[in-house]
Amino acid sequence: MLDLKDITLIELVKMLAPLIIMELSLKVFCLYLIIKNGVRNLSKLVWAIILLANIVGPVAFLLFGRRRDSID
Amino acid sequence: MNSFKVYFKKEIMESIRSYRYIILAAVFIGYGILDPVLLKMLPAILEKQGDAGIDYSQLFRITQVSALQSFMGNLFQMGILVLVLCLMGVVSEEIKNYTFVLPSTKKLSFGGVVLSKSLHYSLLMVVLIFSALMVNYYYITTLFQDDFVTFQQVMKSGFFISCYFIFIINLLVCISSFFKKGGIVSLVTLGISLSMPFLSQINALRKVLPYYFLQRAGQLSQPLDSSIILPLILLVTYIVLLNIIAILKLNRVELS
Amino acid sequence: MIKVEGLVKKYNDHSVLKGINFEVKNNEVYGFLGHNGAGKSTTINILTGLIKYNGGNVMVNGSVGYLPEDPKFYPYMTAREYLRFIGELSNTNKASINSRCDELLELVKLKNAANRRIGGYSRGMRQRMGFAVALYNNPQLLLLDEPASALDPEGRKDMMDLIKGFKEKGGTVFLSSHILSDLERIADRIGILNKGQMVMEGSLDEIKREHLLPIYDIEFEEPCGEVAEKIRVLNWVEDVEVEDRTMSITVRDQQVANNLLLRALWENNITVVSYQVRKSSLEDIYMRVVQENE
Repeated sequence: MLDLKDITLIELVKMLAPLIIMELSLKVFCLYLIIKNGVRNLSKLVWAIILLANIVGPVAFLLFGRRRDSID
Repeated sequence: MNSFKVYFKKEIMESIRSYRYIILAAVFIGYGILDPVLLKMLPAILEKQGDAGIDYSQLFRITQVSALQSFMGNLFQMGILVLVLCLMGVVSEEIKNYTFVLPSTKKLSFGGVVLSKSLHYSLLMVVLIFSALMVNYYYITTLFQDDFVTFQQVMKSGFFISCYFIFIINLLVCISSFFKKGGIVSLVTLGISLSMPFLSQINALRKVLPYYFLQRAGQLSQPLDSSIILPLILLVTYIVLLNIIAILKLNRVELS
Repeated sequence: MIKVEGLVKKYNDHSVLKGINFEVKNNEVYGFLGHNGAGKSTTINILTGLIKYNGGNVMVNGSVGYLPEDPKFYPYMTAREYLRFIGELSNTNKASINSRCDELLELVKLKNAANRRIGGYSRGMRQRMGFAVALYNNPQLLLLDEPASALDPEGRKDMMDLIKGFKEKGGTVFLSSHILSDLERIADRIGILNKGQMVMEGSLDEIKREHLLPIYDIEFEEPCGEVAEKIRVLNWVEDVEVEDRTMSITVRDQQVANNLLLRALWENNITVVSYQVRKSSLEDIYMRVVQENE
């Protein structure tokens, strides 16, 4: 069985790279939305903190925190 | 037909601009990666914090099969929750915000509208589920060794999961035509999907409810055979009924 | 163009329209006047076919363009994208969509904002955008629900100009408003709706001729007291309004009033400080008609 101890640091980084890139770009993108368009329901600071949570954070922000194009 | 084409394009634009694609891809594909990686690191993390004497990697003996099942479990919970929250307004918001009023003065057919929404999000689900499973398969096979999972088995599970999610999409579109409040739409839809595991304990209902597909998705070794014909026919029937009900409802709603 | 006879609309047991009649002729601007809640929007929605009615006959000839009171668009689309969407929905051929969009954006002065999302538009811009959508299929008849009511004076003027332009090209317009001065500027004929009933209908000239009554504003040295009541009962007096030392007397016939009014006042032994005659405005007619039907 492949053990964590057997994996070199480089291999570990390679394995996690897609995840890290995806997470980082999501968070940066959401942060950009917060700064540019503003937020709803919670304050900007709270949403920025929520963004730290893996995947769930950005998803929660995009669902409930994003300021939408207003209908009126 | 024209309304269908125009609204299909409109759904694509709406999904891009309200970041629905990003949200759903993040959940489906993100968890496809995150789930096996977390499973792999869990013993190491526990080892650092817990007693040195216990071999956690033996305690949590994770195989390819159990890793795949763990991810599927995640999809059924997180996936459906986020999907419902993301799409609860798919029809209801249009009624609430009166966005159907102007199109309805221009030869709008609600048949086209409902079908385009159902089909667009059903296709999206199929694409996301198979992509997520393929990504997940790659990680599982590189990270874990025992209990080999074949690519075919994963694709078969993908088929079953897709069937279930397509049902949820059509259910959402239908329920969303009936209630103006997104909260109620999501509660009703989640209520139905959560009550199915309990209802399917009743033997007579087991194969009748779309929950059957989720059960089959988890049974990796069982081959595709004639036992799924009845559930598939029923699924198609449900989809047709749900869409017809939604169309009838929308044709009767006073839009303004 | 439009012929409505005995139109009845009920919500549950509550009658919103109690059998109204009116007719809109070709190439005329018909102003539909009434309080908020009088049933104007309901009537227009019935004319567009958006809602059903419970009784009467409704005939609408020709192609119709409709502008709701508060038009709603997909806020994430730009004006150009939305017009394309409408064009594709109406099945116009691909080649003509682009030129039609340009034409309409130019007409409603949204060319510079054409590539901005509608979600960021002002109320006036959205109203003009709605007008462009209503015009898209070159309709013969426009149904406009309070097209200018929510706008500032500038936006209101833009809207009036657009309506005039449409009429000059041979179009017919049916528009509702609760603001009389808007209608006065463009309407050929006016119908007044109150509590689900038509209380007056006719061309602007007719209404003015028949209903614009002279009003005498008279100021006295002391408060008028019971004199008002004595004037009010005279058979040539339509209405009397009293405000402390001034009295506004609406009379049915100016000729008679000129002969008799001052004498009547003199008989009541009250000293007149100032005396003025003016014509009542449409606003006064409207108020009077609506009051009579309370």
